[in-house]
Amino acid sequence: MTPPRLTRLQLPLAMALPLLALAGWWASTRGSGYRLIPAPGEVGWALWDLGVGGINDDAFSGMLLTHLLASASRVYGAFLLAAAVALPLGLLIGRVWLARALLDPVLQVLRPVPVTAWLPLSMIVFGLGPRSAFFLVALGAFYPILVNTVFGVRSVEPRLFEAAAMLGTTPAAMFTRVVLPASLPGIFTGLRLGLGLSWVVIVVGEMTGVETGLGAMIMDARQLSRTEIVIAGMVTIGAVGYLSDQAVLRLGRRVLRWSPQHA
Amino acid sequence: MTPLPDAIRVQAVTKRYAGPGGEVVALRDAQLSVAGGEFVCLIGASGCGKSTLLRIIAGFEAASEGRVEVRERRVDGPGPDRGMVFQDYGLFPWLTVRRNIGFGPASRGKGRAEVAATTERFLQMIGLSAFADAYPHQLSGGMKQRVAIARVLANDARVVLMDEPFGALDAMTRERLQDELLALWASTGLTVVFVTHAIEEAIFLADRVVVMSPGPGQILRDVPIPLARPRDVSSPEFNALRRELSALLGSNHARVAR
Repeated sequence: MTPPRLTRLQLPLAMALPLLALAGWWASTRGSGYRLIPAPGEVGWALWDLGVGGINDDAFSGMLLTHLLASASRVYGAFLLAAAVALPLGLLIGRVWLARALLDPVLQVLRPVPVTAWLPLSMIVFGLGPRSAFFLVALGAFYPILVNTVFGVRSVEPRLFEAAAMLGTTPAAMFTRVVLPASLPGIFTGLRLGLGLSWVVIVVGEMTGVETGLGAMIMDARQLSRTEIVIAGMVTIGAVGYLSDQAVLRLGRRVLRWSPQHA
Repeated sequence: MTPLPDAIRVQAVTKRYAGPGGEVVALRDAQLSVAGGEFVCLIGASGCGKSTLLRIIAGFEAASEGRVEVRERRVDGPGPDRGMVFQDYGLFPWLTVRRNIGFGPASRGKGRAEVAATTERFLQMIGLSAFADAYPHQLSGGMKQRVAIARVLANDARVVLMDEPFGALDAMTRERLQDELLALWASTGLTVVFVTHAIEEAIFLADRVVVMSPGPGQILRDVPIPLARPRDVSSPEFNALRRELSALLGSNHARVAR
């Protein structure tokens, strides 16, 4: 918790390190001559050109929104697919002994395999293109949602089952009246981590011969040594990922008003 | 007054657990009858089986031997005829005070209007109308326990089982809730079985105090409390009972220590 009298300091403190880094970046790239890292100003112009065009008028100009929409649709699509599979599966594993005994060991072994390691296999199975990217993002989001859902279900206080039972809740109704609401904080944590990871994985996913998307844009720029566009792409992903996370966080605060950890 | 049928009948109940060092007898051959409308306290040192007995009556645990009947029906699991009030409240943290109180009627399929009316009545009874839309984490311990009691009463429970319900509360809140509980009990004709380890609380509340002893848990004595209510905790009669029960519990400690 932030002490109330320090609330005003939060924004300046949050800005301190980025501004310092920006200043250091600017100082070290000042002056003329050949250098590998572009100056902050160049990245700024690159972002402007990407957004509305009118400066370089090359293949990148004015394309930011196209790339962003392509990436965002894959991120949210794959995230929703992952959630649609991981949520019921997690509830099942958390609640049903047989499902846990059958599935948990397999998933625990598969989980440490990084998404990047799946890339070659995914290209063979799904081919070069957006389907492969979609698969990788979904896979990346899948595990945090699954693991946190299982954890949420497993950590429901036994006392609440007793309380519900003595109030007349039937075993069949226990799931909707106790298990589901009680595991919402865990489920929510999983969704938040999963969506965050989706934005991480999308760049890797879009390196597999996709035409559009922020990852594809960064890879194209890298091959053309347009490092200012690479950095502009990074900045965009950071900003969009942050906004996306804030939206989920706000939603969570509303839904989990009852939870002292979230309110 | 016509004698009411026994609300609770515990017959030769024994409870064994498989412990790490072999079998543990938590409760041995317990016999207990509680009349309808009676207020009975179970008292004893930890390990005397008082909570085990209560949980068997509630149906949370099955007896290894013997049987329990509540209002002439054999207990084979938890049910809304027996409301339980836990020391740690057991409120649903995701529901408001109002929805917690309405949980029982709603899960038993009562209509929306009926649930709302019942909830409103019990909110007023426990004096928490102003907190109807608060969540449990925003309440004090005493308020939470009031909600837990109202939740059970709103569900038409005729038998209320209370497992050290005021054990986690400060002394002043505890005394106020004792008074409120007695007033509720007197006005509703509930049957109450109340587990405590506080001698004064037991004498203050109960028609009968059932003294239990550990190793293995069993019922030692059944002490009627003939004092008129409201009871004066400083009266000579109260003190005599206090001494009697202390001696019973104390001599038992000595026996265990030997």
